[in-house]
Amino acid sequence: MGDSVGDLLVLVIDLHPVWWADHSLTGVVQSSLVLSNAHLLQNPLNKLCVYGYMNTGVYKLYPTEEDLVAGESTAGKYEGFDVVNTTILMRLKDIMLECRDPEEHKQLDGSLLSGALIQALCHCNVMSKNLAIGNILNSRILVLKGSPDSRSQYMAIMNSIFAAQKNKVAIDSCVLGEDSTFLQQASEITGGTYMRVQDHGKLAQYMLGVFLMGVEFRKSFNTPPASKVDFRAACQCHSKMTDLGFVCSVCMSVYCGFRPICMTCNAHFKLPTALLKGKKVTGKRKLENGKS
Amino acid sequence: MGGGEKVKIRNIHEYIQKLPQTTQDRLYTHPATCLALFRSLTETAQQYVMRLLFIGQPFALNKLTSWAVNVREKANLDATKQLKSVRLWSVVKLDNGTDGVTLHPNFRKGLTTALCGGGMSWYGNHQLEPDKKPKTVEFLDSYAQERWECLLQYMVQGNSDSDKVSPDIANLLLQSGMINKHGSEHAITSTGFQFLLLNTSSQIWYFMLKYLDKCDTIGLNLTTCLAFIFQLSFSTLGKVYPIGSHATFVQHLRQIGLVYQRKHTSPWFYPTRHAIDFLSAGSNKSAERKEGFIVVETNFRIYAYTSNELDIALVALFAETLHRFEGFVVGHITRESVQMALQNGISAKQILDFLESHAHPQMLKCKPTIPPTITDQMYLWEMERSRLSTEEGVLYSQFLSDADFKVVHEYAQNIGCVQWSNVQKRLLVVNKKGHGDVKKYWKQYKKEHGE
Amino acid sequence: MDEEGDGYRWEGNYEKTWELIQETDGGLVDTTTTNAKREKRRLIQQRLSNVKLGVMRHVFLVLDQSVNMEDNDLKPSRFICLKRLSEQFILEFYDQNPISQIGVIVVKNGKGQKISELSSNINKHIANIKAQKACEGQFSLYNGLEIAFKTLSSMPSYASREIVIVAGSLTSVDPHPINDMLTQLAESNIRVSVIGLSAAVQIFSRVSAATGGTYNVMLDEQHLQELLRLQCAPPAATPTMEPSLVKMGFPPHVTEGPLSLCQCHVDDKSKAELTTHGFTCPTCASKYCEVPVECKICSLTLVCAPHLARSYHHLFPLAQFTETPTEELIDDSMVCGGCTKTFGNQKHVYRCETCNSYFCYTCDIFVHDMLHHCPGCESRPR
Repeated sequence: MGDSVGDLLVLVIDLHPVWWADHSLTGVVQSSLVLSNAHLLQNPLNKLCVYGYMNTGVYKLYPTEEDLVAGESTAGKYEGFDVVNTTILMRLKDIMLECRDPEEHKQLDGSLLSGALIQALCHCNVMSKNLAIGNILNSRILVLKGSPDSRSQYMAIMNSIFAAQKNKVAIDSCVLGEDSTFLQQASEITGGTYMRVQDHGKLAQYMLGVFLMGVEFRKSFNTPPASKVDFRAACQCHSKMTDLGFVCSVCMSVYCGFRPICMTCNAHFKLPTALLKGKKVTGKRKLENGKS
Repeated sequence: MGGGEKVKIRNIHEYIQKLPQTTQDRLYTHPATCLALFRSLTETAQQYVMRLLFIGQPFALNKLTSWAVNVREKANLDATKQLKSVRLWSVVKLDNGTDGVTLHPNFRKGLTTALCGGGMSWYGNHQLEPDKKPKTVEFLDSYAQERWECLLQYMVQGNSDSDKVSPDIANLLLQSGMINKHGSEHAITSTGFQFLLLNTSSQIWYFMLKYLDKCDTIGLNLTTCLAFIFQLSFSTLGKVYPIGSHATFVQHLRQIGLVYQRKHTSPWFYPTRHAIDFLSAGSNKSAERKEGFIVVETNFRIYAYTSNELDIALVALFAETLHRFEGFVVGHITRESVQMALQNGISAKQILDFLESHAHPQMLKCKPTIPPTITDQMYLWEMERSRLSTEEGVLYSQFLSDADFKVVHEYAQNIGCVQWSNVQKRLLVVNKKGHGDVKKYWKQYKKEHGE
Repeated sequence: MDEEGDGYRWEGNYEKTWELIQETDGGLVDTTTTNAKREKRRLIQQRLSNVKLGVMRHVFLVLDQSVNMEDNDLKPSRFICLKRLSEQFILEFYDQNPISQIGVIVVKNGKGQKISELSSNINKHIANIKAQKACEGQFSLYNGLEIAFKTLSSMPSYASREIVIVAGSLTSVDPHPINDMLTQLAESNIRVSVIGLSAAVQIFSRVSAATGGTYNVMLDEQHLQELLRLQCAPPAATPTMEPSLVKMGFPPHVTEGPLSLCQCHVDDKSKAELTTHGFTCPTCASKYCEVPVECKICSLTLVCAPHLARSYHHLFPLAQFTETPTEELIDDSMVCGGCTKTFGNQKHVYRCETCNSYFCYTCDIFVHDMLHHCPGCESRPR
């Protein structure tokens, strides 16, 4: 008989300094803390793990190897929650102090969502493996994202999504900025919930109402409807979404028009027979070939 | 002999439900109570509370019913019933005339404070000097175990080793029906047996409930005690806390091993693991499972890997001990041993629950944990006892004529008290209740038809 | 020497298993180097790297349904066990190669019979395999290969053409010499792999060697499962496979469109119903319930982007981490780059050559088995 030993919630928070310079981080962090406390309250066996990520690295905020603080219930908060909250805030402060020059941040690529997801999945995996026989741990990851997607992480993110699907870890997404296709696909494939929150003031309310529940339990409550996920591919040459594409049979890269050599794997393609025979092709086709 | 009353453990919210309204209101001002009560709610109820928590004013009822996919579903109905029973959920009239729902204001404030802060410290503003010789977690664990086992040993063993257990506690055991006192000796009752087979958290919770029922007689305020218990269950192991105004109560808790105090007069105490874990029995959420030590085989052999006297005594309640080694005991579950346990008031289900909760990790690898032969056989042995049921009755025999017999028989049948009858032999058995009426009727009939 | 009366060798699966147990210095059982785990690491290390792969595959699964398959050395019978394992194989195959196609052929009574056409429809394949019941007659290698050959030879050349034969018999009844078939197969670049269930047979090993496939004979059920799983990984590309740009459609998923019938169930009266959701082909606007599928009207392959992404880890595999003893770590407080826990008393740690992070045993297996990306490399700015 599989005994459930509670739920594991992994919070992954985007800390990109340039994006947060225009938005208020404090309110969002407070809402996340309330969500973590509520999660730990629901069941004494529930577990929590928090990661913060930005474009310079991925940092584990909670739990830390040594106990950084001893909890106090001075403000009426339960001591256990106080330990968690203070640890997270202290670690956040350390990370923010290490931030480099803003100009340097603008030069670097986007936030390392792929690294954060991968570390979160490793954590879920290790926690499941360390259970006693017959116990099941339900894990899920909640991503709080603000800064836009960066296409260079596409492959790593897709692979982590498939690994999450195989390990039955749902990826929920709470997007604070623009819509993110990566997270839409992640939530759709792994069975999580995707939500975009425009009003950051009401964030705590939304998080408690939607993301506090476990995945199985969500079926009995009405959740925000699944957004229309764009499963099309973007072509390598223009990074444009396309309905119809040409796929290299060796390396699976997608192009919107014919090209003689693959950009990724340098495979040489045969020209289509129409061109070879010198047939008159339609003007549009010729123009395309001239461009590529 | 005989069933005795079944031990029923009330949930936290079932318990709070029965308290008077003013007590409830006072209780809800303590954040710890709100936390404990929240944890004992069902998942659906918890979700409703969380969604309503940060809304300041009453929320329209029709909008609330649209939250659930199927409002008529059992889980939703149970949740609303549960919330209403502890007065967390009250229906008020909104400005536009429709119904609105609001949370109990004290509860709302308490829970928000516990989650987010912004209130007062739970323990008052006592400044504590750090303990010069702090106690380790292992010491606290062994202390708690020793004290609690002392109590259980006192119950199991008939001879009065009563200097180990204080008179207050012994009195409480007597009053809650777990032991019977005969002069200076005491014997365990069937309720006591059932109590023994529960796991430690359930035992402590049941004991505390009985204590709270009686605490008015000892002169302690129910609200403060209850709030203190909840606060205790949310404390951290290994940390000191100030006693404040709960000196007497803390003494009692010290006797059963829920807290540790260096001396009677110390102003602070350490909570033990039992104090922190026992609330899980009240909230139906399981605490971390302790390692079990029992292996049951399909040939009805039972092996217990323990050298703890109490554990061995518990196993001996329903199984025949064959061999004892260092750290290893071999027993055999026989019909006689189980019948004896059943006679003492323990049910088969309790024995099986005990076996399952103390099952060795090796046994947990099999599905189901306990072999089906054992479970089925236990239930069969239990059912054997209910093959016969007895009822007192009165036998009417030696009717002089058939007509007389028929008249009496018909009358008894009309008032529905015939237990058995044999028309050829003119024998009739009537139950005790109807005997008076039948006798009166017969006398009247004889008089009427006169001798 | 085992005594004759004690049973067959394959029944002695659990003989002398205590010899596999190893003891640590303190006399306790060493659990980190049990046989199963060692096996797994070996298999992972066999994967190819820096070799051009044929990711788009057309595979025919040929199952032996002759009387030899009624033998019960695999419980309950070879054929029933094989049916079960084939289902698992098909599911895993589509998981790792979503844009490939499988077809199923059974050989009984000396004749081959195609029970499932080459397609991407998982459920149909599984249903057809389940429907096979009796085993009769003899196995025919030639006929089985011929049916597969007829279909595969007309497939485009950019995709790999493969046949996987699971044969339980030691004989074959063929109408024509096998060598003719061998030359035809080699010319058409069809790769034949054979998995034997009883003993090694010379003709099978010749067929696989001539076409560039593999030949294995199973030891027990678990080994058979592993052998089938090995076939899921894409093989190296043959020199004659020409790379080309394949036209594919990426249909949008419509959730609230007009009510219409889908093309996949248009022939099946029981399942056809008017629905609002589905995938619309970009060229001919016909609707399908699931992708990947080949459009019946304009024969355009319809896929969605994640399907292509599933094959990426074959093409860009993660390099193996080097195993170093824990004593050589620089300082004791180092944590695993994946789960950020200390290494405790593990004997070995695993180091990524690119980013110099160390990983524990669990994270190493997880990273190479499922993630295919190093956590250390991904957590550093590019």
